[in-house]
Amino acid sequence: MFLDWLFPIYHLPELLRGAAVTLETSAAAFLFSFFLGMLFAIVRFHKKPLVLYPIVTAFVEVFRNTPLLVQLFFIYFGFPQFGIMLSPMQAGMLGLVANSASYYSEILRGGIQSIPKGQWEAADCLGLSRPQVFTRIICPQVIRDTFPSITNQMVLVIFGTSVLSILDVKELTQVASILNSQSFRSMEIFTFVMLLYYGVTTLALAVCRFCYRRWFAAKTERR
Amino acid sequence: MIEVKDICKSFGNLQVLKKVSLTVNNGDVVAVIGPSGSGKSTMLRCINRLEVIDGGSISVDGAEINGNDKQIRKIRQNMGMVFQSFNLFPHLTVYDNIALAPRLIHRKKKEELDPLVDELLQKVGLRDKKDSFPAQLSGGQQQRIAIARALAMKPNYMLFDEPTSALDPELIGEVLVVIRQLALEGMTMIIVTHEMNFARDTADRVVMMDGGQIIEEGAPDRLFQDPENERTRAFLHSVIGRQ
Amino acid sequence: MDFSWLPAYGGMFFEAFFLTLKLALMAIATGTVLGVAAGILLTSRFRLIRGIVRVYVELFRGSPLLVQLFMVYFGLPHVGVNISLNMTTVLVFTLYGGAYIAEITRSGIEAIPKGQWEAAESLGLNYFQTMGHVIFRQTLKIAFPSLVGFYIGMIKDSSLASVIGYSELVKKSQTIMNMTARPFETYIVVGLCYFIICFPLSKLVSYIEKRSEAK
Repeated sequence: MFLDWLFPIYHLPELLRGAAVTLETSAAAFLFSFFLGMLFAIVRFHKKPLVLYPIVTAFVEVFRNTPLLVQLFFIYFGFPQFGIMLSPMQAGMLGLVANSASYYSEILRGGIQSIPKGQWEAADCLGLSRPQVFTRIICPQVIRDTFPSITNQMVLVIFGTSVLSILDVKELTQVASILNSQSFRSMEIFTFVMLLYYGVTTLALAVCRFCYRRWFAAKTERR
Repeated sequence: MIEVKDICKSFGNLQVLKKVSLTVNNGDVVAVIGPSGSGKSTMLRCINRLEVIDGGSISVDGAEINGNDKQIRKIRQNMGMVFQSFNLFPHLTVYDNIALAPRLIHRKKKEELDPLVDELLQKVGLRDKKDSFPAQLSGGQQQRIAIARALAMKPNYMLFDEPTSALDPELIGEVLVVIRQLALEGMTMIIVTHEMNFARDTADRVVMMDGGQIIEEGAPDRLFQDPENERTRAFLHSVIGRQ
Repeated sequence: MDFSWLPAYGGMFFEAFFLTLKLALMAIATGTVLGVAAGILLTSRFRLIRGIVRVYVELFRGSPLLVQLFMVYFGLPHVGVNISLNMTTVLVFTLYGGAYIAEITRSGIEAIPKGQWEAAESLGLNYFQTMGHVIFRQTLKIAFPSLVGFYIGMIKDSSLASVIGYSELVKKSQTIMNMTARPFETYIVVGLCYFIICFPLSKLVSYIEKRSEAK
């Protein structure tokens, strides 16, 4: 029952390399899924283009109501059946982005729906083009209003990268698993990794709060 | 009898009550008036310990409030409070709102509760709303139910914290009628209010507060007609001039 | 695509599907009990209680479920605690669910206007009477959509139990996949199983949310 709590520290380089992969993958997945989700949200909100609307809706509902693990297995093991071979990282990213984009689609769509009609009307009356109205008037407000949900989903993306370990992507959880199978110091390793994830997400959320204050809060509150 | 002696209360750096003293004898109806921020509501809330005083003492029926939870609850069971924002329980019917405390604390059974609730609803003129929910009632009706709820415990004292300040003008009258009736029946009451005419007609004594202190106290006719204190005069002028 | 194997294996899917539901329901039940208790403790006036529960909640909400599963599954035997796979799985899901439900409960309680507490206290009710008769029912109403939303998530999260070998839908489907050599179709069926539970439930939640907003 002897526990060596320093054990994870001896292997810090590997663990940090895994953490780096986690961060890079998370950041990329977050950005891609956010923008894809925004596009989906626009299609779902306007219900146009008419051809895309049912496809996007079906896509979003499927990826929101099935587990990430199943989606990853479907892509990684199922696609080769039709000749599409993807590396673990490619399959992982694809699944993670598709999954997260579906959630962002609903978050952002809800945000767009709650913008008062008067905002659209005022912007139109000023003579702004549709894309301008959206990017300059509507979008900033949507992001400001749905910020907590956006950051929450971002954390879920970070956690989602841990599932990529099943496909042998060398992110933090997989590095920990390998270390575990080599040394069997399970309790120490996984407790350390748990704390590492906690630290990473806390840091990420603090950065988000900082960004929010700088870009949004100053302009809208506290006169 | 309620005796407030030299109480002080601060919120952070702001001192809201600066050595306030007040005696309320049984049967007294005391109206407390004054500008916003004068400490009127705070003083009232200190009496039933919704706020804790920093200095001085408050005694109810001879016993000083010392922070013992059981004692505080007993005092509150004997002291009804009516809030500016009614604070009715939205998930309970009018009947349940009124019957809740007697059922849980006095352990009254349905046979006793039915006539009790009925009598109280009759008193506030809302007998037909027994099974309604607060959301279905107007502001004036809600406040009258709140009064009935406070009376259900058969308290010896009633505290009113700006009971009509959150009501639309046309609904104020129906609530004041109920409060006035209580006064005529001999209930000991402290009423913090902005309704000057009501205070003048109903109270035995009017207390004027400003800046955390009681600056004048006296019979309503005298105080309203011929205030001694400059600030009282200024306040009354600014308020009644508009009424 | 070829689904001709489906009738032969349909029974196995069905069985496995119910194993998933069983796990999910058990985790939901125990997680809710723990979570509600923890949530109420998070509103306690004693700093120490709040602090201890806060550490638990932060840890289990701040790390991935998979890591928690690994930590308990590999870690407990390592320190001498040997419990069945079933118990391990339920334990982790309880702790995981409890942390999230604690937060949902806490924010539900804190969303109740202070005036409700004051009115109950002014009537002379004690803490337990106030909680039981006034606060808690309102908390439930407020927290309901988030709670059910989380439950739906739990059903999907149960799929991770397959990684540590727990027998549920995904684990069983791997066996089927090896026998039929058709991973594409297999995982479509698996996804469908989750979909037919989760989709109606999430529509129900949005319907209820819209209705309570309209009021």
